[in-house]
Amino acid sequence: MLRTEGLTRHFRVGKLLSRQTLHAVDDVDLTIGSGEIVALVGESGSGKSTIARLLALVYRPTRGEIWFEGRPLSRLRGRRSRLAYSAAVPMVFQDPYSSINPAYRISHAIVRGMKLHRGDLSGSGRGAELNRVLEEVGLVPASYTQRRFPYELSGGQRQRVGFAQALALRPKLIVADEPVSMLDVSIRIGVLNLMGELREREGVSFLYITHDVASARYLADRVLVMYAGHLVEEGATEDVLQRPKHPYTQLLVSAVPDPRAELGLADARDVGEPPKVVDPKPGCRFRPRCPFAVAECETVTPALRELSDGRRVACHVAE
Amino acid sequence: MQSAMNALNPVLTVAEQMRDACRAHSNMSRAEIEARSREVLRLVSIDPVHLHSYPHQLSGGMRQRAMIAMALLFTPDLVIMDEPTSALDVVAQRSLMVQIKELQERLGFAVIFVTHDMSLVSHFSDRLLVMYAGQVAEMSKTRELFDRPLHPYSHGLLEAFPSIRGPNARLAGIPGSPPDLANLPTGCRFAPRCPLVEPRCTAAEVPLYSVNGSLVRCVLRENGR
Ligand SMILES: Nc1ncnc2c1ncn2[C@@H]1O[C@H](COP(=O)(O)OP(=O)(O)OP(=O)(O)O)[C@@H](O)[C@H]1O
Ligand code: SF4
Ligand SMILES: [Mg+2]
Repeated sequence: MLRTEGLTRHFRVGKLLSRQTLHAVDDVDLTIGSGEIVALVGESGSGKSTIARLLALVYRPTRGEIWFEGRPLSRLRGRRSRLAYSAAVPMVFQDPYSSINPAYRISHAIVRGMKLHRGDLSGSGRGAELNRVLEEVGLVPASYTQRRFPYELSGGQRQRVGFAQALALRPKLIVADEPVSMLDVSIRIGVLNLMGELREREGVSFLYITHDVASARYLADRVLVMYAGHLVEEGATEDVLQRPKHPYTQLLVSAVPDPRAELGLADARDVGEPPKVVDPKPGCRFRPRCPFAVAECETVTPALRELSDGRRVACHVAE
Repeated sequence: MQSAMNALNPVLTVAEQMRDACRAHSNMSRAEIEARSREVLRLVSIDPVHLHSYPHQLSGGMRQRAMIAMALLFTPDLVIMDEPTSALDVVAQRSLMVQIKELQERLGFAVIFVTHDMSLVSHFSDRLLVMYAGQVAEMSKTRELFDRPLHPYSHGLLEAFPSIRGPNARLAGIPGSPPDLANLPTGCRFAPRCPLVEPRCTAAEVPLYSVNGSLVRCVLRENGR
């Protein structure tokens, strides 16, 4: 349904006279199928949110293309077609406190999007749809919730409002950038379960961006692993997390804290340095931290290659 | 000196904010400030090229590390860290925790670490204080709390996050949501969500009971067990 080809986004950084290029996202090919939940995991600064913003048309790609339902987005012309795409691929953000205007009731937050994107609905049609989406995300009774102001709701409830806003647009794919990381742990599971239910009931796909690998395992069908702007591994969730092939994925999975395990500082400190994405040279970006690096890793950027069905890894030595 | 992690000012570069902080608290020269700023950024693994970046040019995790770097500009006695790692992936979380622990041991400051993530602090804290609805629900040695949570809320929290290795079962979390602090239930504040609730829980305010050196606010522990 959505596919990217060589998706790349660079930024200029540094002082005026010593401009450098930061490679936030380089050459990413990803696909998201209809009704699929795909998790995007990776290190801080690896480019996950940049991908989300590229998909949401907040940033333009430096290079590469995004295809949605067979059509390239670079050829979206005019306000109407951009609006239609934004309704089909809405975003839900990390911070449920700043993503809803505090001055208006919940009904306003949801109806505003419908007025903009769903000209097909009459006033009463919008009212019915408002009730439907609030019930769909578990904010019941809907007649009560829609009269509330954002400050009257808990963080988890506001995040549900974020999903209700997205649902009201009749989305095909919801891009959720760290939707639970600012919520109390006691209610995170509820929001994860909600995403799973919305996929079942409404057939929406999700790109679930997270740094919580265990929650990716809980929710997603497939997982994509980013490192320093590159997609380094992809495959069925259970397959990738139980048998990680890329050395970074192996490090990632081994670092997941397990409170049931013996307490104490068991693991040695990761000896790595932060990945160089400012004017990077060719070669594997994980090389300075990689225990398996060979000479080739210094000079040749590993491309994603298929190891087995649906399992792709960008590493010279993985097999 | 006490040092809290403040939010970054969106309209100033990292270098400018560090300079302001240094000017307010010391009389370092411009060159000293520059050197110290680079040093603290390196301590938290941020490339000093980002001295001239604005907060929106940093990733979420880099912003959090920059905030920690600001707190380390001067050597504090107590550092209060409010969710310092919540936007980080686990590898960076672990290495940041190890860095904080090393800095803490080297520089001798105390840390109050405010977090949602019990599993993360399980490996790094001496004592754990579990808050619920504005009150202490339980305070125990970290290891004891994980081995034998005394409060039903602590118990629920330990069961609320998915596991990476065990069976991938559907979780229910803790039903309901935290209470409205302006409209608290009578008696135990956790009672509306508690699987073990009894009539006496809602009769009166529950005090903190002492149980083998731990403190717990639950009527089921009133006889110290
Ligand atoms: N507007 C911008 N201008 C300059 N650099 C930017 C901009 N937005 C992002 N970057 C840079 O791009 C890189 C990727 O950032 P991004 O926000 O995508 O990371 P992320 O994977 O979402 O990280 P996190 O897990 O910490 O949220 C970072 O190095 C960041 O500094
Ligand atoms: S390509 Fe080389 S450096 Fe990169 S992950 Fe594989 S072995 Fe390590
Ligand atoms: Mg991000």
